[in-house]
Amino acid sequence: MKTPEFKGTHLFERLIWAKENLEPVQSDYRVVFENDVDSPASILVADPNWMAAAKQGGILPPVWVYWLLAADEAHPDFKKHTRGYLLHETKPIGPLTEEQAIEYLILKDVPREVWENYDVGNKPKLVICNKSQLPKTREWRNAWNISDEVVSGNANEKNNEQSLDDVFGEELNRSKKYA
Amino acid sequence: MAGKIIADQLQSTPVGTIDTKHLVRSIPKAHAKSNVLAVGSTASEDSFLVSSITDEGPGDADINFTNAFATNGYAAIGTASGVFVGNSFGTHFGGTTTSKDDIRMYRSGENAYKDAPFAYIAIGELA
Repeated sequence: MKTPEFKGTHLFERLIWAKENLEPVQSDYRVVFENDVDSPASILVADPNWMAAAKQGGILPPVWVYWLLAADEAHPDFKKHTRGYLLHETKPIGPLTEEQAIEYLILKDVPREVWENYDVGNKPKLVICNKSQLPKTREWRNAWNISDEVVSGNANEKNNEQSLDDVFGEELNRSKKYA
Repeated sequence: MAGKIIADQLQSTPVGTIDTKHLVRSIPKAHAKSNVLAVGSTASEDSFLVSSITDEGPGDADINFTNAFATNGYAAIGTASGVFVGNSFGTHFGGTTTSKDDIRMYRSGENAYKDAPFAYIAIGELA
């Protein structure tokens, strides 16, 4: 199904169109990240309706729009968003692969301090895995963290894959310019 | 059939007039019915305006919105589905922003945060 050509259409309305016309996509990818040494690892799970919209294209705004709004909100005098129009009036991005969608989601929903320096330090603070690689029960959920074994595997793969900076470098720089 | 009614006000003779902006602001904007805090289940059975859910630990999750709310004053409510008497569902914990709600599920009998499937809605003005 072709996405209507949304021009200045409120994001809420674009998402209603997606909800009514697209089949949800259950992703098997999970994003595991550590943001606090005293807390267990966090597990980010993509929403199936959001994933369908990301793969369809023409619905979601570019990720830098979210960064600008986050920068506004971080200001000590913030009371109310005044640049929400960026969500609605910025030209929507095209279709993403499931892998690109997960990377977009990392840049949107994982704390910036995690993904910006995810591979600095003794071990990465963030890894993408399959849900089958997570523990099968939540009995010891408070003790979950990124294992050294998983980290080693990712380090080897990293040499052959594009980094987050390679994929979203332009948007990252734009965010820094406006933030 | 597709269609659109454009109106700034609704009037009821016995009750009075109300601006439609108040109606638009007061309808639920985001919802989710999710099994994220239960391994082996699908991410969400149903949802809207949610980009992802982050499992932060037992009974602890962030619900991330695709469209941020205009302010941090949006109202949210949820329920832990089909489980124990004594479970409470809290929203707007410390990590909450206009674009994510930090929720917790707590079981008073055990004095502990507990995992469970949950249902959630949020109401407020969008950015």
